[in-house]
Amino acid sequence: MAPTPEPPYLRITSLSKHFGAFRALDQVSFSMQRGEFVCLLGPSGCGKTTLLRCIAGLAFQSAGSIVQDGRDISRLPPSGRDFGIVFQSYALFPNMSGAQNIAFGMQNQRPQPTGIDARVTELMELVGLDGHGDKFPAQLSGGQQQRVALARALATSPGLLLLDEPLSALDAKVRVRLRGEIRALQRRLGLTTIMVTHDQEEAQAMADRIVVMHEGRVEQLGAPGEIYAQPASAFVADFIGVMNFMDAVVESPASLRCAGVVLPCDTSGHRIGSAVLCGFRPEDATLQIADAASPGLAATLSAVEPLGPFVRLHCAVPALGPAPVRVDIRRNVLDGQALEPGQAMALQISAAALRLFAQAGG
Amino acid sequence: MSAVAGSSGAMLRDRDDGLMRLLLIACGLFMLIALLLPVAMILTRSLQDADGAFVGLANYRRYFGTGAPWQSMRNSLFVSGATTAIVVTLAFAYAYALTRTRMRWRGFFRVMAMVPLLSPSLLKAIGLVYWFGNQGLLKSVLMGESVYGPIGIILSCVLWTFPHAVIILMTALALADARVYEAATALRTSAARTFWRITLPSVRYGLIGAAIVVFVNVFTDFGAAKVIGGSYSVLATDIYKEVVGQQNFSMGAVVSVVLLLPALLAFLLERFVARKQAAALGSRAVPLVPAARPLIDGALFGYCLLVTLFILAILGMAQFAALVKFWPYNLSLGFGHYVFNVQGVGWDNFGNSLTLAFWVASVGTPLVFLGAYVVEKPRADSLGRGFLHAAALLPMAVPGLVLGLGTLLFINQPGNPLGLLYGSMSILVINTLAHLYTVPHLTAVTALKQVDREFEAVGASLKVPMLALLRRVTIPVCMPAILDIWIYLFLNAMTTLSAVIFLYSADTKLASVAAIHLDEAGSTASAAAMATLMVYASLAVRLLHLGVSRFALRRVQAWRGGG
Repeated sequence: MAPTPEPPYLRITSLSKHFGAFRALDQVSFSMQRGEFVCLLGPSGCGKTTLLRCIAGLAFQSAGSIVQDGRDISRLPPSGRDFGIVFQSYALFPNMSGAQNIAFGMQNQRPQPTGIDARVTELMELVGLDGHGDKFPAQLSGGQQQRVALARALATSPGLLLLDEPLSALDAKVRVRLRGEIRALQRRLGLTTIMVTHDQEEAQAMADRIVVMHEGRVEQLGAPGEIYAQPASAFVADFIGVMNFMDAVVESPASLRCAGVVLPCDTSGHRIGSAVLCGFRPEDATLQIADAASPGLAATLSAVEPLGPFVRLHCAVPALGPAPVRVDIRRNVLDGQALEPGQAMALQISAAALRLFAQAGG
Repeated sequence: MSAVAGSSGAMLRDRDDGLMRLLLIACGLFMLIALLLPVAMILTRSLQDADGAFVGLANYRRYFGTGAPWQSMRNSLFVSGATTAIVVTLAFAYAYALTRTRMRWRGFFRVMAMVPLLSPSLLKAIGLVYWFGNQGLLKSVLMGESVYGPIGIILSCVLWTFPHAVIILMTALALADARVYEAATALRTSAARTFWRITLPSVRYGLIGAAIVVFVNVFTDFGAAKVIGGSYSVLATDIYKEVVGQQNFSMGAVVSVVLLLPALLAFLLERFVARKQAAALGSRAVPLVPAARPLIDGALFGYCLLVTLFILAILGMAQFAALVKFWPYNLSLGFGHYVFNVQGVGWDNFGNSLTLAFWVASVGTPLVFLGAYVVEKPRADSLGRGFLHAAALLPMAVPGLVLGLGTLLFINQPGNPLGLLYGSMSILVINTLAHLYTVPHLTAVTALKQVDREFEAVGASLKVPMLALLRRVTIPVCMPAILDIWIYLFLNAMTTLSAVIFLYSADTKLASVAAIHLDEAGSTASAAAMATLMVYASLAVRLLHLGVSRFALRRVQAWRGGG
């Protein structure tokens, strides 16, 4: 059965922004449905914040269009658009209490809505701030300030919520707790939300879909699991999670030649004889202490890095090239074995774990 | 609403964009009328003869041909250079004592250094006359040299510019990074070497900045040279003589240009240095807490006490002289000199000064603040903002005399509708405000820079009009700076002289002008009396302002102390 195609709530078409010769945004297009949570993810300078500011009308695109809820908002000033925004700095008005901050937008609506006080109380409860309304921002913790900023943005019931790195100024613990709360709130209210972040873990934990950006372009667009499992480019693979890379040449439809070994691998989509970048995730390989019985590539352990539930082993694998290879193994697999640098190991990678990317510039 | 392909063309403007543009135009117009056109007038007038015909550089040839200006220029340079050397040295030691030692009475000495700010430069000159003049108490100290001339000018200018230099150097010295000094101690660097290799270099921009400010102020000052200069001619008094004495406006314009150029040059240098200083400020320094050094602290205490006593002696003498019945023959006291029985001088001059100061401060504060808001908040077009910012910095480079003469020439142009304002209080307010514009503008810009950049964006997303945001957030948050701007404008308008000397009328004569006239008429004691009135008025308003500020800030700034 084919669902009736609902028109997208927000559609961005070929949006570009130039600063002189510099392209901050280069032909960015994507659309999102009502109630969706989309993260704009990328390293600093990738254009994600510029894109958010264009959607808010705080920056003006050089070309392209933005349609929100069937209305072309491309040329509207911010005051003519329908959004609430939360900034990294919170931008709370320091001379107003938390409750006054939240009420400020409603007090300036004409005609003034009734029951502002009740709405403020409701919002405070919604973001888990009841009892703190009388405090000034300077008297609130970072997490509490962020909640006030969120409640203030929600107060006028905007159709679109924009979050500009809202969590990056917070402690790690608070950050993790708040991201769960924001996500639950967004689901409950069915709020269409765009969040800018440079933290890939945060994006994966919160978003329905992620827009990975790089140098002003959309590098990949997809659900978190999809982007992790099938990165569209070496950049995405490297940025989301950790990946080991090595140079290789396609030898046959089912094999690949690395520095000193031929690996079985599905190479469909790549010309035979072409140079590719081959990668695998640290958790998709196995590393064991080498003995006569264990098959695999010869590896020499160079460092052991305990990372809580798992241990990351760094080793040199001459057959795969000069780059060090990282392999994650569960802590309990070690089973008390003492691993020392210099230990001879054996590395195994299954064909399914290998991802191929075209060589940059090749 | 129809979804047209609306991406082409510029972003649509909302009501607030229009308001912002209106503000930009209003402030730009003020700058144009009060500052740019008058200065342009000076330049064109210096190329015209008395009838307004273009004569090229003939005026300049005639002016420099006489040889006299070279003497005035040499004198101006000498007086300015000597004052600068003395003030920067004295002020450095004083500022060092206030910021880098554990000397006792630091708060008291800090206040005392600022006392000269409350009085016009002419008051210090009068105080000096009574100490070292022909009938002065300590005339013999000068060993036959006359105080009327370079010595007097330099001494009164030292007193007058001392607070400015102390403020600049205190700011520079306060920026010390404790980590650098800890490193020096760890490397066993001697105290003297630490001072020469770390302390002095770290404040070099402060020293240069202070030197430039002092030099320009003295170079373009007119009050001290007029009262105590005697026959020693400097450029500033030359303009006055040309215009007031001989009604020769073209020549006055020529001297103005000669005065304007070095000031402009120094100004550009100062901006360059200020930028360097700001860059040095950016680091995350650990504030230095000075350690007690009994010997140095004691010596500097004696030094600061001496400076304070000198300031008090000069100003106190001016007050004493204003009360003495007939110097030096009848030293009994009375208020006779406060009667002002000289033609055209009276208490209403003092009233005029209060009126002027009140209006300059009360009209100027909103204008300056909104102008800075337009410059700082990126809504209006950037070309206009750049123009406004540059124009706001210019007054610092334009000597008051030059601006005053330019304004006089400008509004008296045939057909200029502003001619109606000639001789009115309005033109004095406009002129004084333009003359004082730079420092309040920078104060406002600094305050606005500290306000979160995203407030306007949040306001727009909440559909809050800009004016509501200004009223409810930006202005309350910036209230300390706004109050500072008001008092700065008031105090400086109170003592202003050079900018208004060409513009007052019989009805709007100011106390500072009246004091000059009293002095010219030989009633030096009455001149001193008039000047002391200005000091007390300034002091009273300053204290009132302090009280009102404390009350107002407690209301709008409750959130600040709340932590």
